[in-house]
Amino acid sequence: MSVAYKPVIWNRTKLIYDAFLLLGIGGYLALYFLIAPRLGPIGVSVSDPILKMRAFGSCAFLLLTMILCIGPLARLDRRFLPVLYNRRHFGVITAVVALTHAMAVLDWYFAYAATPAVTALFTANTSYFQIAGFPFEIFGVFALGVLVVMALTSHDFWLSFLTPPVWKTLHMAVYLAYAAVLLHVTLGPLATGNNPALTLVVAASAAVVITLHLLAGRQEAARDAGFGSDHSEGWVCIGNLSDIAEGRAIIGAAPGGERIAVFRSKGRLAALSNVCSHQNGPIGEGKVVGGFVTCPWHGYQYRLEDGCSPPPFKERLLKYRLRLDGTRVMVDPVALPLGTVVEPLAIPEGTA
Amino acid sequence: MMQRHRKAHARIWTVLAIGLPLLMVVALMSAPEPQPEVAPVRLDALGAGG
Repeated sequence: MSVAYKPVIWNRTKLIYDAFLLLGIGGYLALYFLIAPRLGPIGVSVSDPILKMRAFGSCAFLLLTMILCIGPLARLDRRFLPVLYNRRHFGVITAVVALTHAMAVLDWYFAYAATPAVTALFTANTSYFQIAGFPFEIFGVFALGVLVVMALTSHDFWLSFLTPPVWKTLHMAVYLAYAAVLLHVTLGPLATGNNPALTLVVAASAAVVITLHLLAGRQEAARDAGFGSDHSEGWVCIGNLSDIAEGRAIIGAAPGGERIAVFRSKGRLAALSNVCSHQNGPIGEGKVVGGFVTCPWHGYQYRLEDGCSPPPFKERLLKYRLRLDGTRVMVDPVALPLGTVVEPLAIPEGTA
Repeated sequence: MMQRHRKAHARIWTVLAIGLPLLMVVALMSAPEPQPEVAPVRLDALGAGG
């Protein structure tokens, strides 16, 4: 957490996650090198450098597709949350694989150019004003640039330095990178390769990514619309006491739309912002662990009393006043200043 | 903040859902058709002796 910045804070879960990731990538590349040469037309051999750039290029495309599926999958089904946990390492490794692809391209196609390879990349084909023969490499360069910037700013130092809202906005550029990758692949290998199987794989990948994001967005919009407009003297009814399981929360929204989570733990209730101060994770979908509200994304923890992380950590969540109206849980939608201590509300005996 | 973020997400993916398939189709339709029966071309000059 925030107490000290180390290059990477490893734990067993992260090591297992990364081991799976590296084994998967290694296995894919090995299979590609083994199988791809046998799938081409008889009598047409593919040189090793071309095989290398295709292997790493297709691997980077598939990794990026998977990364973009993780977010919406975790929103749609909680069983995907463990995959979200170490998504940043996924992104960094994808950037490295994509960079290897780019280096292989430069080494093969532009190594003997009259100008430096990078200059030749931008000047060898200048058909920018026509679709057929468009220098598709330019989209790959853009996407690679975004992936590298994201990898370089993926550390919590940058998250803290830029603040979570700015960092999140910056990292949304990955969607543009994905669009650029699709155009890179479509105008390049798909347009020139006449390979229906490859076209099908790319189109299916794009369809899956787009559909998952639209479904997750639709679900969130439906949740926003479903939050009641049950108000009483400025206080908002978040739900019914019986809806809150022990150690869990229900989520409602203030009139402005900001979500509020009301946790129940050991006969007491506490209302906190639903937005984790680390990466804006949905706190209300987490649970109380060891007396602390714990974010489901990366395990950041907060006290019920004041919304602060336990020392030596410094993260804080907004807190809200709450009261019970019978079994209705009412929250004052005006957030208290950060760090304000409000003892959790004791649930009267005999109340559900 | 989260609500703004969610709305931005929804807008971006709606645009991509419409724009990307269109761009891909246009790109593929514009690709030149390979000519199946192209006569072989000799690069060495005929009768050059070598």
